[in-house]
Amino acid sequence: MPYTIEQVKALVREFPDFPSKGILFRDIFPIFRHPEAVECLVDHFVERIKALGQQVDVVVGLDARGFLFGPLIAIKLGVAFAPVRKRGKLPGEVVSVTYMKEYGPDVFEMQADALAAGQNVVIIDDLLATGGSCKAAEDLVAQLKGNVLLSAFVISLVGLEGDKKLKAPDMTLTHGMPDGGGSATLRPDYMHRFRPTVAKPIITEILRSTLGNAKYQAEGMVELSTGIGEKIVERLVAEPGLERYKFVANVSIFQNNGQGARMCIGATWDPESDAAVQETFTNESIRCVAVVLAVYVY
Amino acid sequence: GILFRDIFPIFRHPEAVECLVMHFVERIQALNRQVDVVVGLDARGFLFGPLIALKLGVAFAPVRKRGKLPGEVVSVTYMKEYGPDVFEMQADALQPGQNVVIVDDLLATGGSCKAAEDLVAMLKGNVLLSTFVISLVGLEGDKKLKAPVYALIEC
Repeated sequence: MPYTIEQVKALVREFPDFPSKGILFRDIFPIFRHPEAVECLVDHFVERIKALGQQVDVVVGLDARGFLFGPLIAIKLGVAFAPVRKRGKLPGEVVSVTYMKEYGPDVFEMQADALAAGQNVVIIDDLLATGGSCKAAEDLVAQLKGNVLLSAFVISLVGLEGDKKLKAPDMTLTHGMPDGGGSATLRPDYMHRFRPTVAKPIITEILRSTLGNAKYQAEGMVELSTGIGEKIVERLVAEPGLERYKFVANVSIFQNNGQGARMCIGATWDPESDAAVQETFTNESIRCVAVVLAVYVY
Repeated sequence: GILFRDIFPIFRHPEAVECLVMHFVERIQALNRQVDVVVGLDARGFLFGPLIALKLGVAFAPVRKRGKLPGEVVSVTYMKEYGPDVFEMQADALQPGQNVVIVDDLLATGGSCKAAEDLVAMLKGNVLLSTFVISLVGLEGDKKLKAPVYALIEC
């Protein structure tokens, strides 16, 4: 039974206060209980890597959870796999780098003959947190004169800005909050959820201040409605705590001829994170309905 | 005094990896028993285990050092070539009665693999076979183990 990528994401399991208090551990091993889920995950990564349109020569996987995915991806791509390991684990000539992880410094190594100069590399690991390990891997590849095209992760922790440490672009299957926050990693906690009660007065105010005593005219209504929509989105985008929302404002302006009209719109994609808000403005000449959809970006 | 066997060069050649995986898969299929879970030992068993599990169309479960696996675990202390250590497995990685194949890169004294066998037994699973890329036959690791052993290379 084939898996969807959404179903794969749902298999990731959370454990609070592991390995120590305050850390929310993301366990990717449940994915491996379902071979179809593993297939789906690997295909997802392979498609994204192929979409780069560049030849990949080596998949580099970080010890130890990167070892679970890296060889699978490398085999699908028909390329080599090379490990990055903690100091003292790899035999022979190695290059090494010291880096800061979430909980202290450590040394990573790579075998000196794992890469040829000029080869293109994709880095794989299960989780991107502060970016320390992945940055170390980038540095090792650079020492061997390889080029990192992409770093790919199953999970990225938002807010830790690990991606900012990295030179190469990165991709992730799913995002999470570092300490979990609300009931599910994918979705916003209360402080970061779009609340209609906050948005409604903002929209009402914009409608009133823009339309005030405006009169309906056939000309210019498109620009007027677009302008209102832009103002609404601009204000909502600036609201603190809503950085992960995408807003769509749909503004309709009707001539008020005394006709009765009721309009009800509701649209949600993910009821736990998304919302729709509607506000109406009426004066003697104009009736305006603004519908705003707030969609949380995972 | 330790001669290290490095299996990573195999991974520089995807066709070599394919050949190795198929070789193990055929050997496992030749048992003519249903395999439910491939258990791989941290960390070099992680390189082969998922590949073998995927080819067989079965689950993969890890055996890891203490403190690495979250949630409820079973654990066992064992002697490795160079001192004692504790291995763990997640309690829900296996159902009772499920058939298991253990995978690792190297069989030396057999301490790690015996620990894995013990963990599987604690979860009421059955080890059908343990497979390795390399076996150091002089160390008689296979004698420690209950289940049969298969190694690609015997040194």
